[in-house]
Amino acid sequence: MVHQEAFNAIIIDDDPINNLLTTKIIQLDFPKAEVITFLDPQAGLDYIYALPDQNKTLLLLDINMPKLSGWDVLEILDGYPDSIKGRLDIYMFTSSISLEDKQKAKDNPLVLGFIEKPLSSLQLEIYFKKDVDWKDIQRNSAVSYMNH
Amino acid sequence: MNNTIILEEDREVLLGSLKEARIGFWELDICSGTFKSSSVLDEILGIDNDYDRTIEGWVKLIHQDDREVIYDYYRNYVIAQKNHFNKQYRIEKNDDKTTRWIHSIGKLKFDSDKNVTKVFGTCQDITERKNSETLKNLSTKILAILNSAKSKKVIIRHILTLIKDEMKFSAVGMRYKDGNDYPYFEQNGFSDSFIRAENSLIAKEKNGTLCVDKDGNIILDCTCGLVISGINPQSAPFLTERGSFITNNSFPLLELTPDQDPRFHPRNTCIHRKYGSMAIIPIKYENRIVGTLQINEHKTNAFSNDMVLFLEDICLSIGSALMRLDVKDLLENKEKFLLEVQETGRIGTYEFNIATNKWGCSQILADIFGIDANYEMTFENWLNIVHPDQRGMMHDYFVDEVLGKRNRFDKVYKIVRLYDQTDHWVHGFGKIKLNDKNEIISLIGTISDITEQKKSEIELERSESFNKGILKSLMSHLAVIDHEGKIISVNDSWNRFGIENGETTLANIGIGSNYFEVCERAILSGDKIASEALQAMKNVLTGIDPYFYMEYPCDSPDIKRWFSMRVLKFNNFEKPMVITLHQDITERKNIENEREKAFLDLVQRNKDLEQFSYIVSHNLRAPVVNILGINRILHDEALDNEMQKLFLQMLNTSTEKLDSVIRDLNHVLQIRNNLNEQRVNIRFPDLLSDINLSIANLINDTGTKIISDFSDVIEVHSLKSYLYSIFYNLISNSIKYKQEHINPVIEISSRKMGDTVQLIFKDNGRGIDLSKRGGQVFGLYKRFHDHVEGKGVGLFMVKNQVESIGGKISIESEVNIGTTFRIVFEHNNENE
Repeated sequence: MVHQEAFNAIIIDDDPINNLLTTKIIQLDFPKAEVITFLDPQAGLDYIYALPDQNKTLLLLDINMPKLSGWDVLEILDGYPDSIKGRLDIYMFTSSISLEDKQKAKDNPLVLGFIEKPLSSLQLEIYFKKDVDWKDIQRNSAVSYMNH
Repeated sequence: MNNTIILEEDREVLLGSLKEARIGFWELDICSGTFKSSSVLDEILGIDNDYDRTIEGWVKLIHQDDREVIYDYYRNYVIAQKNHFNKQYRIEKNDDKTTRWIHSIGKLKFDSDKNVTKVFGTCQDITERKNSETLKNLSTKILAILNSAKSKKVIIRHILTLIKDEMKFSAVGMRYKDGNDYPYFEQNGFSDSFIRAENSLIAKEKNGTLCVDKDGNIILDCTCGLVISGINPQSAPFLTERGSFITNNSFPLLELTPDQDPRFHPRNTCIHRKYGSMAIIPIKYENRIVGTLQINEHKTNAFSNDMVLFLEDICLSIGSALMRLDVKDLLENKEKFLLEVQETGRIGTYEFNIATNKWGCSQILADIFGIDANYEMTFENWLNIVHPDQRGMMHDYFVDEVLGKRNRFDKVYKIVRLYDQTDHWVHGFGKIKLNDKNEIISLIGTISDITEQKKSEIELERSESFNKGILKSLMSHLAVIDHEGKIISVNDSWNRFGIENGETTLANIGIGSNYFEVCERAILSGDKIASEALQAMKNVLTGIDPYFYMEYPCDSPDIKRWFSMRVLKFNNFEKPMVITLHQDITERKNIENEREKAFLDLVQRNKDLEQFSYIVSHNLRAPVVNILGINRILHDEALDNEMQKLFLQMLNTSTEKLDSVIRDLNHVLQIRNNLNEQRVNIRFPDLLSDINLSIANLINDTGTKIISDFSDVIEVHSLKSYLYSIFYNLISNSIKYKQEHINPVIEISSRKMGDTVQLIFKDNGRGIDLSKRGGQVFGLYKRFHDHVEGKGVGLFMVKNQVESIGGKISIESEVNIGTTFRIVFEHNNENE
C-alpha cells in the first residue's frame, strides 16, 4: 500500500547493502519519504547535530559496527541538547536476535523500540499508527514497542 | 547446520563438567520474586519441576535454625546494601528432609538506575567438608575434657552430652565393667524403662541360672555382649576392623535366623524401640575391653565412615583416660593403705651386727622377705635376697655409702621373695650405731614392702607418657597459654615448627616465653594476622568468644603454605587458659584453590561460548536478513528493471558473504578438533621460511622486512598447523595494518624466561588504541580499522590456538608506533 505522508529517516549502519535495501523498502511504500544513510556513525552524528529545525525524524540505528557501536552512538546522543534529542524517534535496527540486546534497548530511555532486520512494510505502518495493540505486533514479530 | 551441532556438543561438554563438579546455578529475579535453578541445584535442594520457585519457596528450604539469619542477610545486606551473596548455611532437603550444608555465592545485576534486578550465582553442597570440620572441633573439645582434673563420672557425662548434642543423636550411653557385668555407667537420651531392661548384660537361662562357656566364663547377651566379648572382627559380620558394631539400618537384623546370627540371646530391644542406626564401640585399656560407647539414632543411615573412625578414635582416648583415672584412684587408695600399714605396724624391723655379720628381724620383715627362722641371716644372704640385677649396686651402696661414709641407709630396691620367688619392691631405712671408740657396731632400721605403690607409679608414668605420646604424634602445633600470654606447655610439632621456620627461635616461642608479646612484635612489623590472632586469644580467654577458628596464609621462603588456627578455652584451672592449635592445611587449600581455578575456567569458557553464540547469531544473520529483504523487495511489482538488476547483484553478494561467514566459523570450530594432531619438533626458522614462500608476493609488494632472532630458543615441541597459523596470522596482520607510506618492519624473536618460552612479534604498524577497546582485540569479528579489508577472525583464531596448546597471548600497542604481541608457553609443554 502506497502512502502519501512525507517524513525524514536516517539510517546508521555499516552494511551498505542493508542501507540501500532499507531505503528502497521505505520508498516503495512512502515515495515521499527522504532517507539518508551513513556507513560511519560519526558522520551520522555530525549530521544529526547540525539537523535543521524540522519535524520528527526516524533514526534507525544498527548495533554492531566497528569503531562506534550503536550503544556508543546512543551515549554520545544522550549528551546532545534536548532540542535535538526530542526530534528523533530512535529505533535499534539490527540483525541480532539476542535477548540481551533487546533488554538493553528496553532499558535505554532514548530508544523507542527494537526492529529486527529486514525492515517490513508492516513495521512502517505500525510506526505511523502508534496505537496498535503491541501483542499484534509481537505476533507478527515486527516491532517490540516499549512501555514508555 | 554442522556448526550448530558442534556448538551444541561444546555446550554439552561444558555443562557436563559443571555437573561433574556438582556445582549448581541459580538466578533470582527480584521483580518477579522467582528463581531459576540448574538441574544440579535441583538435586542439591531435592526439588523437582513442580517446586514453588519463589523467594518464599527458597526461604522454606532453609533450615529453621538458619532461616531468620539468612533471610535477614539477604534482605538487609545483599539487597539493601548491594553486596554479593556469600554464605554457608543449612538447608532441609525438600525430598528426604535431610539437613545439608550448602555454600552459595551470588552476584548482583543492576538496571540503569543501579537498582538490583537479579542475583545469580552458584551453589555447592559442602556437607562433607562441614561434617569433618565439626568432627575435628568436637575431638579437640573431647580431648580437653579428658585431660581435665574432674572425676571419671563427670568427664564421661560431659563427653556423652557433647557427642549427643553436637552430632545430633537420639541417645548415647557408656557401659563400664562392674564385676562380671557391664551396666550403663552414664547415659543421655535412653528412657528409664530401656535402662531397666537393658542394664545387665549377663546371660541367664529361663530358670535364672547364669550361662557360662566351656572355659567357665560368664556369657553376655545381645549385640553389646558380642562387642564386649572381643571376638575376632573377621569372624563376625557387622563388626568393623576395630571390633565395633555399626549398622545404618538395624531392621533387617530381626530377620536373621539363629545360625546366621553371631549374637548370644539377641534381645533386639533397640530395634523394637525403632532405633534405625546403632553403633556399639568397644572401650579398651591395655587391650582389655572394659566397656562400650553406645550410640542409638532413630533415623537410618546416621553414620558415615568418617564418623565411625572418629568415634573409634574417641573411644581409644577414653580408654587411656580411664586407665589414668583408675591409677589415680588406686594411688590415693594405696596411700591410705600404707598409712594403715604403718599404723598397724606392718613395717619390718631389723638389727644387723657388723662385727658378727649376723642380723635378726621381726616377723613382719621375715614375711616381707619370705624367710623363716631357719634362714641364716648374714650380709651375704641379705644380698642373696636382693634382686640379681641390683645385687652389685646394693653391695656397693652398703659398703661405700653406709659403712664408708657412715650415711643413713635409705634406699628403694628390688628383692626376690624367697618362698615364692616373686619380685617385690622394698624401701629400707637404717641408722648406724657407734661405740665409744667411734667404730660401727650395728645397723638398725625398718624395711617395708612398697611393691603395690611402685606398680602404680610405673603405671601412672606409662599412662602419662601415653598421653604425651598422643600429643607428640599430633600434627597440629599445640601450645597451652595462660591468661597473661605465657606459654605453659607445647607439643613436639610446635617446637619443630619453630626450628624449621628459622625466623622465630625456640627461645621466643618455647615454654615460658610470652606469646602475646610475640604477637605484639609481629603486629608492630605490620602483621595483620598476628593482630587477629591476639585479639581472638584474648576474646576466648575473657569468654567473649567461646571458640575461634581462622585460616591464614603463611609462606616459608620457598613454599606457599596455608595454616589454620584454632583457639579453645581450658576451663579446669583457677586462672583461664587457652589451647592454641596451628595446623598446616596447605594440601586442602591447594585442592580448594584448584577447584576454584577450574570453576573460574569453566565460567570463562561459558562466557566465551555465550559471546561466540552472540557473534554467530549476529554475523550469520546479517547476510541472511539482507537476503530475506531483497527477496521481499524483488516481488514488488513497482520495481523497475534497473533496480531489479541491482538487487539481484546484491543478492549474490549477500549469499557469498553468508558462505564466507560459515567457512570462517567452520575454521574456528575446527581448532578444538585439531588437538589430536601429533606434536612434533618445530624449528622457528623453517616455519618462517615456509610462510615467506607462501606470501612472497605480499611481502615484496609492500616492501616488508622481517627480522628474526631465534638464537635463545630455536624450536618447540607442538602442533605444527597451529604454530603455522599463529605465525601466518600475526605476520599478515602486521602487513595489513601497516602505516601508510611506511614499509612494514616485523621483528620476531624467541626467548627463554625461567620455565617459559616467549615468542615476540613486534611491528611498526599503525597500532590500536587499547585504552578504548583493548578488551575486544581478540574477539571474533572485531575490527578496528574500517578502511582496510579485514574480517575480524585472525586474532580470534590466534588466541584460541595459543590457548589450545597451553599458551597465553598478550598485546601492547601504541597508535602510529606499532604493536607487539607476546606469546608465553610453559616450557614443560615441550615434553608433553
